[in-house]
Amino acid sequence: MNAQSYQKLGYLFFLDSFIAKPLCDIILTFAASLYNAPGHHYIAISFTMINLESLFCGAIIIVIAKVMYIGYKLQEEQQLVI
Amino acid sequence: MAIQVELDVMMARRKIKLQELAEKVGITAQNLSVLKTGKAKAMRFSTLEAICKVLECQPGDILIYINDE
Repeated sequence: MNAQSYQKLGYLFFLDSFIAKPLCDIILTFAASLYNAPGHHYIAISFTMINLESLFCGAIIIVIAKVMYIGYKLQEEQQLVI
Repeated sequence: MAIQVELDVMMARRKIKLQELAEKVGITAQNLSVLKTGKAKAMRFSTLEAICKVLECQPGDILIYINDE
């Protein structure tokens, strides 16, 4: 159960990297240019080191979750070896 | 599971209780109960040897293969 939760957390980091952060960038740049003259509104999409950090953290967490899951399966099997 | 453990039958024949058998074999009564109820996934040869020694039987007397098909 915990391993599955950590895996979901890892996927959330991925979502953050690919969807949440770029969406924030878009909204932020549009909001910043909201009071510009008509025809001078901007939106910007970027993929920077911050996104890569989230991606990296998500990957690490997913690997840890996989290891935890394998460990749990091994322990469960070992318990039933008489 | 295809392999059935007929430990309770042999225990009844030898008139030995679970706790006593567990002590003589050298495993916990809980583990022996897991084995008896067929929930065990694997068994060490050393455990099988100890059980056969205590119950004075052959492995085939307590482990039976049943074809699921």
